[in-house]
Amino acid sequence: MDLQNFEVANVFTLSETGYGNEDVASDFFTTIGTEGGDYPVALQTSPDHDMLWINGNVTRSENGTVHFEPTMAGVLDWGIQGYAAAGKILPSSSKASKNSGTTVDRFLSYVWLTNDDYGQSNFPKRQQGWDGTLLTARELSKGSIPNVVDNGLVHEKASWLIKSRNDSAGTVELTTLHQKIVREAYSAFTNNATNVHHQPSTKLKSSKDLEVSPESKFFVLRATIEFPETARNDSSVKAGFKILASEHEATSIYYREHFKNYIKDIASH
Amino acid sequence: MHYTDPKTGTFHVGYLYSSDESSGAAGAVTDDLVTYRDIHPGEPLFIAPGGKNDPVAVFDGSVIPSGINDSATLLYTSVSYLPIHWTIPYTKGAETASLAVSTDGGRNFTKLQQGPVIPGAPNGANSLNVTAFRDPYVFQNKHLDQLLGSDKGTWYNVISGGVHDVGGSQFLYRQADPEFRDWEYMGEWWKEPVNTTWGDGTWAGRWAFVSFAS
Repeated sequence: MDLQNFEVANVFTLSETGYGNEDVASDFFTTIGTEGGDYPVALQTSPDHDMLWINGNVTRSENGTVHFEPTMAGVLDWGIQGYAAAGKILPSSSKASKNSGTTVDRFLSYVWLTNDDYGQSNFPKRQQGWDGTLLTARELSKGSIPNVVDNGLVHEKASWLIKSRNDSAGTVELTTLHQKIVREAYSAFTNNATNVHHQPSTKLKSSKDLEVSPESKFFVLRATIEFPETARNDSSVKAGFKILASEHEATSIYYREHFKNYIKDIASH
Repeated sequence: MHYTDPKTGTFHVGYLYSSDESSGAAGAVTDDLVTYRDIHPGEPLFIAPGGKNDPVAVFDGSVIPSGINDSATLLYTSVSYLPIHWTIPYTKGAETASLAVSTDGGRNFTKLQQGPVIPGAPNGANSLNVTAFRDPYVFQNKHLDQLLGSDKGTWYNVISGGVHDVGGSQFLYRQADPEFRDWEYMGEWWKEPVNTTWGDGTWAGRWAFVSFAS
């Protein structure tokens, strides 16, 4: 059976600052929910789906029809239960923008965290007590990643495009979708903090407790992590944080330079 | 179903809602993106199924902030038949697109007393055996205006779905009249064949579920 389906498509254009570049053919973005399944597909039951974003070029063919041609594509939210992102332009004339002194038009997207619709996943839904939620809004824009080593990987058909090249340094600057927590929420999270703690940098070879661990489960944790160059080729090297840990379960969030991915691991002991 | 009310600057967040008692679309409003207030206490529904166009269900839609009579105008999926699922044959007319207008600041959207403005998937010479046809997303775009020779500020919408044995698809429509009563079908402006991937599949799967577990 050859089946797949798109849902909840949004279409918009992005600039470096947010919503914009409406007249630029190559700055079209779409987000889609995709339905498909591993084979064999179980009729009416397969719940597997992804929340993707795609950047493309919009052109007109000789017969007068217009077409969206993808140029880069990626996953908007890797969470298994993150789906049905719904976005909209937030003009600078909105009250929220005026209140925060934001002078650019933005594109906000809210991802739905599905309720007890965990499909094939076995999740302890009785613990949750809520019926689906929208995640914190995110601002979407066209972002850049400078100083990326110009190797085979950057030339792949992927979730980035090469913006410019520095031949003498052997690096490229990449363009990709940029997602950030909506600025007003981030400001509220950090400005309203009842306790702020800074911890000086240190070299780590194994795990170590923070000098001060948050007592509340509501906190913002910000850190800069530098990997040794050997981490590129060593798949065992990872660094990050273990949070919300108890004798029953813990959440580990870590980055692996070799795979260039973040892992969020919620595990019970 | 989000939008900024041009009269007040308030941002409305809309979402599909269901409980044991009711279903439909519900909303909250915010002026700072930190605190959100339900548009109604209890069940914050602004539209519910049960009309002539949507006897069975209301699915996702989107809002033209200054639409009919400069009021917020919702273009939404009006559902007449269930089940709907991408793995089974599609019931003709199961999902259509209908209009509802709010004159009370988004607390309620009143359905127009007329048939759907998009009465189902393309038919006739364009007939397609769709897997789904829902979630109209309205937008304006200067580049499309130029390419298609549209009036400045014309509204477009894409409807999400796919075609059995062919693949996922977005169906593009263009506003045909000032009251949004008719929408001109502009074709499948984007589609991807089934069982294909973006690149080697690492970054966006095969336009479906990422996993290749056997």
